[in-house]
Amino acid sequence: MTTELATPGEESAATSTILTIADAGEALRSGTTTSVELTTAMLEKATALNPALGAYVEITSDLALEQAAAADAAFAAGSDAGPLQGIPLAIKDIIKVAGVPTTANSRILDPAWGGDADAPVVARLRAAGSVFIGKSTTSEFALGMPDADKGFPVPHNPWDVTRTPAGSSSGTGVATAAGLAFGGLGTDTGGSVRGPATVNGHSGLKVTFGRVPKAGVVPLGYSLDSIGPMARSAYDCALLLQVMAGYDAADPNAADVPVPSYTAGLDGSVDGIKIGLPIPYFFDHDQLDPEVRDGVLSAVQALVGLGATSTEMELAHADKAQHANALILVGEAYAYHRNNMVERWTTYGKYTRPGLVRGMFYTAADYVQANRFRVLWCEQVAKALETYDVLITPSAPTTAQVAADMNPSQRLLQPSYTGQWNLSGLPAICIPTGFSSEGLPLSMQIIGKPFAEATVLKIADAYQRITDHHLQVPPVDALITTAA
Amino acid sequence: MSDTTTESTDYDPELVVTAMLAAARLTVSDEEKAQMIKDFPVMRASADELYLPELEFYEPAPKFNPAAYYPA
Repeated sequence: MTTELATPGEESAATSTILTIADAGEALRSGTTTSVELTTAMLEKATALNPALGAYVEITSDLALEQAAAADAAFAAGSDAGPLQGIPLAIKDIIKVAGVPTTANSRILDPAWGGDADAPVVARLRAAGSVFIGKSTTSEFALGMPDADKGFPVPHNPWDVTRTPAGSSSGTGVATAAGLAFGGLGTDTGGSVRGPATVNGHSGLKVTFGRVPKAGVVPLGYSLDSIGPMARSAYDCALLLQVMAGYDAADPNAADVPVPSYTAGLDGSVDGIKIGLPIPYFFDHDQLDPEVRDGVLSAVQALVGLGATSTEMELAHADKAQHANALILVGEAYAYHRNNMVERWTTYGKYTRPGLVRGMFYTAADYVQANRFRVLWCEQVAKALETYDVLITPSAPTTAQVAADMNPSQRLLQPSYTGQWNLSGLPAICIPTGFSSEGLPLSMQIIGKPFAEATVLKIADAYQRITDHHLQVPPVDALITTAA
Repeated sequence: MSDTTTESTDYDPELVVTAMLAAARLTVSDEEKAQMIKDFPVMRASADELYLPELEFYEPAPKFNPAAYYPA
């Protein structure tokens, strides 16, 4: 890409204070700014910060400026394709964008994977007038951990670059938090949208299985994968999902279920909403950081103050549900990768191999049994959701961990609060609840019934109308100086 | 790397891991194999715990539809 960009630091006041898709949309329609201005500012920032933050595998400057100019021309001609027109977004690099290589952050994948057509979800964003800033970094094949040995950018948490930005949708998470995009696409098989949203301090929605067609996405776990919106606010996630959702026959698991308005109910009201708080495992685990727990409980109290009710309850086997999700995930992933694992073991990253190989160590009976357990878990959660509109849990047991301390084996022993909802196929959004004593984002997770994305978005939006945690911006200016 | 071996087993994880890697035709480094031997009992335990007695009459969900568990 050869586009000449302005020097970092020349970003106009008009563009630098715009944090959300909703605000950017207003600015575009009021004439306060243009898509080219917004896009140029974000390209400058992304280019300057990528050496320090590793948000993008490829910054698609030419494509972005071409799309931005088209959006501005459309506005000028009186043509408005909706809230995403002219909005710069990041696309996780396991999702096909026409004319741009797909790497999955791996030397295994042919960059021409997926042919030259957009994934259906990308085609929808493109038709809505979005601007693609670049392909954002992912853990290798959405599974491993960042591995500098393979030559791909290593993502860093913008709140503290020694901390993990989580995965696997690391780049979209970092870009959203640091202002290198207004949001974008992630994928979630065990928490890969919600993890980055959690530790980078923004919002991320894992959708109901089948809600967004996943054709054109490199698979990880066939029966668990989903594509979800990531953005600073729940309202922005709703704007993104409105375009992303809907049936497409290219995905055999796509659900032919009507798409409601995701913004119509975002009015700040949660009156009468019944919240279940599953205490065992999710709130009383000995590895749960008390600051995380207290942040969630304070947020729940705030929702109660708005008219919701909350009740402590139990969901048995939550730990087993996490294990079952992990087992199914690696089993399905190993089936996809088996031949390459045999023939090209060391071409995979050193942190990817130990995760994928677990799919070989489990037996066929284990996979079937995990899917028998899955039915029990779904029935149990469905029973609970006859009583409660949503469940709320911490998003993760801890704040962002020190990246150098992490390893794949450690994960086997840690509790996790996200995979249970991939196992049950339910929508779940993670949103910020404040900051820890170390200045790291805290987060809660709101889980809803199948295809009730509008409900979890409504509750998340109501909380964000009375708080500003999601609008906090990490101190990345110093990193620009360092990078320059 | 942390030591993840906390499970006591009535089998030799090294024998099992060695045999399974051979059957899968995977050639791994000594360091990787050592870590797999440490991890295997933890993995095995997490799978074994899913064989719950109350699942006797449950069929698996090979074709998954989350809405199927909810009345219209």
